[in-house]
Amino acid sequence: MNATEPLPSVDADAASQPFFDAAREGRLVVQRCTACQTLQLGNVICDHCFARQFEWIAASGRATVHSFVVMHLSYHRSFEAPYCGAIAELEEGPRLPVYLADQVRPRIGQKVTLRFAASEAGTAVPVAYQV
Amino acid sequence: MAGHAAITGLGMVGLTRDTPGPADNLACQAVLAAMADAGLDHADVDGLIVCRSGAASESDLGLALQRTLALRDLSLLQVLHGEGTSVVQAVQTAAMAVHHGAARQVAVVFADAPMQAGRPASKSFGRIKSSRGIGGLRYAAGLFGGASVHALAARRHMEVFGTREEHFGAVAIHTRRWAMMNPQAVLRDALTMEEYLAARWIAEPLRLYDCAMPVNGAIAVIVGDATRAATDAHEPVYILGFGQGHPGTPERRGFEPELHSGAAHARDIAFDMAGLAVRDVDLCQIYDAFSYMTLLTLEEYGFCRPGEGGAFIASGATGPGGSLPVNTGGGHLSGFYLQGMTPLAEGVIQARGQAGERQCARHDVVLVTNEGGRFDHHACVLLSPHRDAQARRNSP
Repeated sequence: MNATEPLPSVDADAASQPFFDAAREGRLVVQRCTACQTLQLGNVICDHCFARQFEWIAASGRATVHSFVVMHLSYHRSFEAPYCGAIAELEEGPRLPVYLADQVRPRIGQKVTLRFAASEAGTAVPVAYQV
Repeated sequence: MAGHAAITGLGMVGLTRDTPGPADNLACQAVLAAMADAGLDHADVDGLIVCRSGAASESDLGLALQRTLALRDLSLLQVLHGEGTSVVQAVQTAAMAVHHGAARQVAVVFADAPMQAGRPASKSFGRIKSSRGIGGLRYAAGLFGGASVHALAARRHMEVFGTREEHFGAVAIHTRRWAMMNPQAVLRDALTMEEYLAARWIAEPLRLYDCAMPVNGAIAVIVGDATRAATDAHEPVYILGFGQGHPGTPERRGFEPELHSGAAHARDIAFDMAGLAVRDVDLCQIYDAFSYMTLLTLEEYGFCRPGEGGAFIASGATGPGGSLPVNTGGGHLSGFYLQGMTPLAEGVIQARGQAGERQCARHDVVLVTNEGGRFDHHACVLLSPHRDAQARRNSP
């Protein structure tokens, strides 16, 4: 990754505002439904019990690679092909798309750790690193 | 009076990389061609459903197509947005209108002109859909274009079921065998496994021939009351049943959205409506923007067991001479990519018995699928040259 280039812009929406607020402070958080305790991300309605109240709890930053793709076209100046985009499954359960900053070809199930980097919108976004 | 909804006309325009746009001009030509094919005059068409690419706007192609076509006093007019399922959803909507007598002859059209001189296709297909929220994080992860997310899905199938790159190659190779017999297909040279594996990577595990062939063009069909068919040139193609499935699968541990589309949900609705079983299907036109879609869709309909799609296709079962012809025009992969119209048009041609060298001898029941998002949207329709395919199957 070119460390001086911010990543593509991502803005918060209503469901994810607390996520991006915490991200700006370098904290990774997930939503917990107050009714059924299911951990999730990006929802206004619980996708398990359909309740509408959440609390936001700290996530460890530890994750595993659920799937990955090695990209061979560079759509944005942050990314120089070949590079790896992945779906990371947080230790807590929810999954997130992440750029693998220091690896091109991981294995599924491999452990990674998430840290934050800046996006062009000024928001902070999670990036994955080998453990 | 409500009648039996059928596809009574088909118009196809362009279908090459060099066809000049813009999309609304191509759409107009396709609707006029479909009307002529159906033997209809302007006054006969009282419905229009417009489908466009997600990259196009209302000003590119939308409700204004009515005026472009000089259609008056329409009883049904809408733009239908369903990502890759737009076309089959539109056919469903038109069929329901015709069934209830809310309209009599409805034109459904899709047009696109993504190929512009000097501009690589990736510029049209790598655009950002929405960079808000958790879903928007995909762009910060470098996951641009449909190939990226379908590659992620294909990789999961490889991990969970042991599917190999050669299985995706088999999809490409057997689809190409059909394209070789289709004069309208873009890619018509034989494809070997060596050539498939040697082609450049797009998004691993997807290579060049795992991805659709973009073109400029337009296709329109007329959905009408078959009892009022106005031409002897061909028989109506009856719409026996249709369904949709939109899974909304959560993205968290315990779920496998990469291995699960809306196909099974749509299948149950469509086959129940038609009074048919999956074993009654003679041939399939499967939305195949990426080779993995063909494989997963065959599994999800139950033509083979989960995880066995690769072996099923590698056996040759879906190619010329096989037990279940799939994508007999070359699909998106070797034919041409016009979203949901690609499989629908070939389904109509096969049902009519007008596919020439690639005509399948058995074509009583044709399954047509459409797919949208990353397995977020599925729609299907069952077509037949016979009004009552079930009775025909049961007769000795």
